[in-house]
Amino acid sequence: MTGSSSLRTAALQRPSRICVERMAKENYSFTVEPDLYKIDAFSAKVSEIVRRTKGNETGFRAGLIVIEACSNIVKHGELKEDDFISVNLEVGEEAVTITIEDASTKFNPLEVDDPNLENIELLQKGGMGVYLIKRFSKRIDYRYENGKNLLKIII
Amino acid sequence: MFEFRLAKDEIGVISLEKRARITGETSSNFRKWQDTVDLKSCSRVILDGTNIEFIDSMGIAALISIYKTIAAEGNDLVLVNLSEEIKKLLNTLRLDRLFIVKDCSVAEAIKDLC
Repeated sequence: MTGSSSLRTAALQRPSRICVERMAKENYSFTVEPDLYKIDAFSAKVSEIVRRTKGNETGFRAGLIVIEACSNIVKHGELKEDDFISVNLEVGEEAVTITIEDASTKFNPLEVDDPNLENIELLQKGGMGVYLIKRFSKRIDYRYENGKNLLKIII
Repeated sequence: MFEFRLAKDEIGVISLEKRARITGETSSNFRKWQDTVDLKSCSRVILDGTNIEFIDSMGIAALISIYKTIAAEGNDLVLVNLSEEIKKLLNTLRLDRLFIVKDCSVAEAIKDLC
């Protein structure tokens, strides 16, 4: 089953350039603008898709992983405005797989040390996002190929 | 978007006017908003999570900011009506040791605190 549609950032009532292409029954391909508003709307959409078949908890996890990973790219990746983030979402019977591809600076989240949870000052400044991605996923694979970060997260 | 009211015994109650995601700019606005209300003079503060649809690390950082303001006066931040997913998120970050998380209504929390 194929088709396409565009999402709208409801809070802003302005068009989002997130493009969605439904490739198969449970396989979706997205292109997301490097913009925190758009990423938030995209995260909500991913949560909704996953929640439909996998329930609230997995839906929440999927949305959280997407917003943390994509926000990190926007905040730290030095992407150009026209450098979109590509995301593939596969909702399988056994697992949900999210693959994120971006052309920003090389960044391997698996090399990031876990934050010190005892120190709320440091925790507040950063480090929670990558930690949450690690804790809310079953497996993470990372590779840097042809100038792109490829992050595959299995929930 | 955010509302504040004083209940009895100087207990402050923070709530969201409508269902919202505490992410990105909303988190920044939440942090700015807290400077406009007098949380320091509250005996305790209850945050009603009924309308918190979703929260990310930036939203959590905003909660920590509110906690710090309240804890500096030796008072507690009590979170009620959170979804199971948000409670699990707070547990994962071990923030349940900072915040008091209760499974009850705002009215019940006020009654317990008085």
